[in-house]
Amino acid sequence: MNAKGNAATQKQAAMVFDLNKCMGCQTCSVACKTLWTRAEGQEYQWWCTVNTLPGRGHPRDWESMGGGYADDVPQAGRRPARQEWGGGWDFNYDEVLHSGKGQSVHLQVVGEQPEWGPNWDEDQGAGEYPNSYFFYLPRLCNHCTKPACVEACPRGAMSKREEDGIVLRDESRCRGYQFCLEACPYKKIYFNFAREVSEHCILCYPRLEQNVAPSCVRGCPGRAVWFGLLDDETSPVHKLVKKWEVALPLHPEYGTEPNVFYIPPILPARLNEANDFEEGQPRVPTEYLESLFGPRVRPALETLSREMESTRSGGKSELMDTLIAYWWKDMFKPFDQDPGEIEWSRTPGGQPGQGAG
Amino acid sequence: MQAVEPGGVSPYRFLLVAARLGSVRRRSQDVDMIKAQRVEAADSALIDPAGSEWRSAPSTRLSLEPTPLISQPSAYVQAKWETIDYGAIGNVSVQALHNDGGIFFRLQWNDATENDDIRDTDQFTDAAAVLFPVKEDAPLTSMGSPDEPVNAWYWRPDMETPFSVTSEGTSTTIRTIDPNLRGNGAHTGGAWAVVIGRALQSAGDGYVQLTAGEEGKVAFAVWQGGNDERAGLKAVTLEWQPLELEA
Ligand code: SF4
Ligand code: SF4
Repeated sequence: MNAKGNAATQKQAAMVFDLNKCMGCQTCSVACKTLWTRAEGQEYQWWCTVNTLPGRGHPRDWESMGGGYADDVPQAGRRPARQEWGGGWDFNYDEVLHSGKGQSVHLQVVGEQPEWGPNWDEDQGAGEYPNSYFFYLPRLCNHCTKPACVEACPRGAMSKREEDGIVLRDESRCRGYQFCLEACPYKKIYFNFAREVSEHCILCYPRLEQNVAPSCVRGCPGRAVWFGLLDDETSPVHKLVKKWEVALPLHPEYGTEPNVFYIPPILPARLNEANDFEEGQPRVPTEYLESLFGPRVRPALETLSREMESTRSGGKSELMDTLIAYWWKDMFKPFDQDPGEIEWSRTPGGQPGQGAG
Repeated sequence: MQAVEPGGVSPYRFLLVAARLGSVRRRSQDVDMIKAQRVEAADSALIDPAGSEWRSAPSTRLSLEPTPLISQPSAYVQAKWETIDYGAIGNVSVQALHNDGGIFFRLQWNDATENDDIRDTDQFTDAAAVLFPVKEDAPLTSMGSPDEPVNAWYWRPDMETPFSVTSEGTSTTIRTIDPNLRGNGAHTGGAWAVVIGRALQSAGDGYVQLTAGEEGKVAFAVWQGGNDERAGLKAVTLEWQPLELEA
């Protein structure tokens, strides 16, 4: 174990999402939800979320909540309140489905009315027609190389695994003090009100230990996400992050060195008044992408454009082949074991286990 | 019982400012003897903070200070709370009684906000603890050491019974359920009155053992939930107070 977590581990698990391919179908979010967060106290938890950008995200306006590091100094953060997360609502199912009022009463949230939710501003985006734009951003814990959450915990309850850099919490040590929620600049930790402990994405480590890729990865019907060890030169994750440098961390300025990376989106060029594409005028402002992924966005976009151009004119490109992902299982080798072929044991807490998916 | 100072005019804010300027804190309360008088009363009467026995029991008012920032165990907590006041409860009035079977501490402090449950992520509960050295010279600020552990009785308004907390130094606390430990609190008129009581002797790893007629040491801590206080963010007596159990 790496007590305070402020150093690279032996190996580091990593993910790459291609924001050009993600179609916002939420299969990854639901795959995670059904596998890990169905117990009491987890109703509002979505360890994997997919939000429309530009947008306020989940929890609402999370980018303004602080945390992370500036010049290696921890930055104060705040904990999102329950309403800023939203979700986990109770509905009047009984009234509508079992009391004969199906024709007179509609399904609605009971109690405090929602003001926000995990996917509240879906498809709103920005810009004026015909140059309006949006794209989807899947987010989960980044299993950071410098996890602010691990450092913040006064209990030493959190740690980064040496063998794959996954950030985990020892629940027997967690007291629900929520310093981790404050310190995480990505706001990817949830508080379980029923058990009074904090919880976050565990990168499906029980699956990884059986060479099964995380549930969100295997579930993606868009072939939009790769998984592997960052230093495994045969892994597409290594190729996209290290070799081609087209996969970038979200908000690198937060200083935690995330291990979830994104291929920035290239939308069609802007339309001019004559309704013609104006090449060189990106519809998603490059400055906006820089505000998300930092200054390395420009060279990454240039590499992507150059390689696209080269295949269009009949050339071959390892980068384009990797991004197209001809062979599904190549996206997460060697974690390509079929979960359906494994005998999973059920956990005593009544969790669904690590089953198929 | 001594009158409790009205909220809002306690000197603790001044002290916080003084501390920030680097001056040494006033520690006038350091050697107040806490005397646990022996009474003929049932446990059920003593565990009630409004019980009649408490009306005549001597009361000692102890001033509390924020735990030192330097002893907070993470850089994050040190960085954030460098500029945020914590340890908001400036003093606590302490009474102690024993009936030869059990010992009871009644803590009373001003607190305008009753934080009795965790309803959202923007709040914590109020809480209080009574702390004992398990070995005589156990260090207080670090919550004991491997050789000299400490034992705390930690009360929270949303929990059925207090926890017995054993500790061998910063970040090492372990919570256990001690069937001999009980707690009872009420928030009325802008103040908490809480009784925490336990059998003088209670079998358990790292539990303090007390005996009528003997002396020991005790310390106190209070958390202001409405001020985001939890873990090491609390108001404490910075020194052990001598404790005497009447024979
Ligand atoms: S994303 Fe947040 S919770 Fe996950 S490792 Fe980084 S700092 Fe910790
Ligand atoms: S499953 Fe794939 S395509 Fe669907 S939202 Fe998730 S990452 Fe995007």
